[in-house]
Amino acid sequence: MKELSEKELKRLLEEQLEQDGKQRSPGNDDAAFYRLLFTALADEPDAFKNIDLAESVVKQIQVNELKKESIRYNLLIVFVFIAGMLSAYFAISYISPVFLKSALNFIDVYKWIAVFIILCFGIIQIADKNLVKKNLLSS
Amino acid sequence: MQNEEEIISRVVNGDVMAFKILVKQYEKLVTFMIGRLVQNTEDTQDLCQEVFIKVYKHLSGFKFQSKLSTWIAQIAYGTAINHLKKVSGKRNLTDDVADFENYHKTTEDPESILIKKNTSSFIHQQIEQLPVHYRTVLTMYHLNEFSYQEIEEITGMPEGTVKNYLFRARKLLKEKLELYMQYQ
Repeated sequence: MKELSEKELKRLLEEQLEQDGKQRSPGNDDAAFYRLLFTALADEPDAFKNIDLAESVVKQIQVNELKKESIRYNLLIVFVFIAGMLSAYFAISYISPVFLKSALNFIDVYKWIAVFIILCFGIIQIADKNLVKKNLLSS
Repeated sequence: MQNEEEIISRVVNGDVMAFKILVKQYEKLVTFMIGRLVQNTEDTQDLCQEVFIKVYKHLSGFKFQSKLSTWIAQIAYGTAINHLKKVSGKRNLTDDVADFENYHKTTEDPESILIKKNTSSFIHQQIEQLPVHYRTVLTMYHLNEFSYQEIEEITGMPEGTVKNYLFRARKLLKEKLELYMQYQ
């Protein structure tokens, strides 16, 4: 049986597309088999028909935006906290060096309590963000 | 239907809902490509999602030098190939010729062929067994209706290779179909 060339195949495909792709029973020639094949190749595979992406993609984007926003917010908090501490340090050292010394001693005594409070605040913030994220994904 | 450029500019300006329209417009393109290349339905949805998130992130860099569908298909193709490399190693992608030979020589038991529901599902099953590059060009050409030049742009394969893969894949499927019809 004579093999069909690329050009002949392309012509066959074009013919097939024009004929609205109705499945026909092949005869003995190559062309009929190719027609049948082209029809099947243009069929949408069932397995991929029912995937609804739009909603899940938009949700995921919103979650990512939220995450980015929260990182920016947390960085801002850290920046404000450090800037506040530094300005307080320099302001107190300028106004009253004696008070600064006693303040530093006080901080040294209660430093673990301060660390604990800061840690708790951080954990609450993270838990809150995760809860929001979970709700957003499940809604 | 809204103008594509208008939708893109809305998305770039932060309108997530406008992106939803874009996803709906191109979800078939992406699901068909990813679905055919990856073939694992569990991974398909995650990868499709990953593709659209990449599209969203990089949409501001899209300069309309090609069709949006070609650009999205490029991202989908890259994502699928990277996933396949990660999952099955590079060997699986480069040994296509050997795979092709094996595939060509293997003839299924006629009885098992006969139980296939119909010609279309038989062909789809046969496509799944083809080497990944053959599946790629077949899907892009027949299902997504890309031209040879567009497939070249998306995959980076030279046009001659695209034509060659397409020709060989179709010939191979035609032979399988002939065999199938003989036993029916």
